[in-house]
Amino acid sequence: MKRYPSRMGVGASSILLIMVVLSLTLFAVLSLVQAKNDAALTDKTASGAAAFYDADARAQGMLSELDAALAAGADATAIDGVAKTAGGQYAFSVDASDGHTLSVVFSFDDGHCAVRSYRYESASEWTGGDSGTLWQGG
Amino acid sequence: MSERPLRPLKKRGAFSPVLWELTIVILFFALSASIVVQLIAAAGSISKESEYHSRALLAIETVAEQTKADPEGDGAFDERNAREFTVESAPDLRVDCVVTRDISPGNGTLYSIELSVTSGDGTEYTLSAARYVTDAEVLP
Repeated sequence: MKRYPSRMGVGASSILLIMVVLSLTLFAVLSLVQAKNDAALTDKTASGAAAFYDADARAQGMLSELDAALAAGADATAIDGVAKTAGGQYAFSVDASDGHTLSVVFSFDDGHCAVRSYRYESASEWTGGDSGTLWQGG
Repeated sequence: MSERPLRPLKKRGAFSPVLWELTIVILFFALSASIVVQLIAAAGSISKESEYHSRALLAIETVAEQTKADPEGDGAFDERNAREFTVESAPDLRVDCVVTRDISPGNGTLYSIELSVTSGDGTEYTLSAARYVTDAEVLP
């Protein structure tokens, strides 16, 4: 029986190993980076929710104070942060810790506060980007 | 009588270069694999914790909104004007809720809502909310 000489020389297994180890390391690092990004996103979502509920709680507390003050016949605009709008309604805003603002508009009808508008919006002005690189449809 | 070419005698018990290389390669691969496995395990752990945090946040927000919509609930407030209840969103996810009502505002009631979820490893996720209900407002 004729024996063929092995074509695998010294170094072939090293090259194979380097490729396998590089691939495994790449996938492991990618999965770690992905997991850390997911965790960071979750933390950001949680801090955003906490900021909203904190602002909401302060607004509700302020509403209770304003309701009591108005029922007692006091002037709501004397309370810090409250302004009277053109339509005879009252407005105030509460800043959230993540750069948002909770704007509340309410009226005082029949001896009770009634919320007319409750908007949670970004405090910073939005500026549109340059649309020059976008296809405009024709 | 035939002539056979002379061949060097094979040394018994000596490693060839290929075998030496294979041995080093296997050792290096074992070392690299242990590091890679640790990386993947760390990624899995972070991902699992993040997934639980995300589910806990969703459950807390759901219970917060449900409680804000009906802060009186079953009306079982104790002498401290507080009521406690637990919502089991999933077998491994229980939201503990404490609602405290403050009737001192003369024209309504201010409810403070404290929510918390404790994970299996002891991490606690909390959220605070509030709701003011005027006396004229009819709750469901």
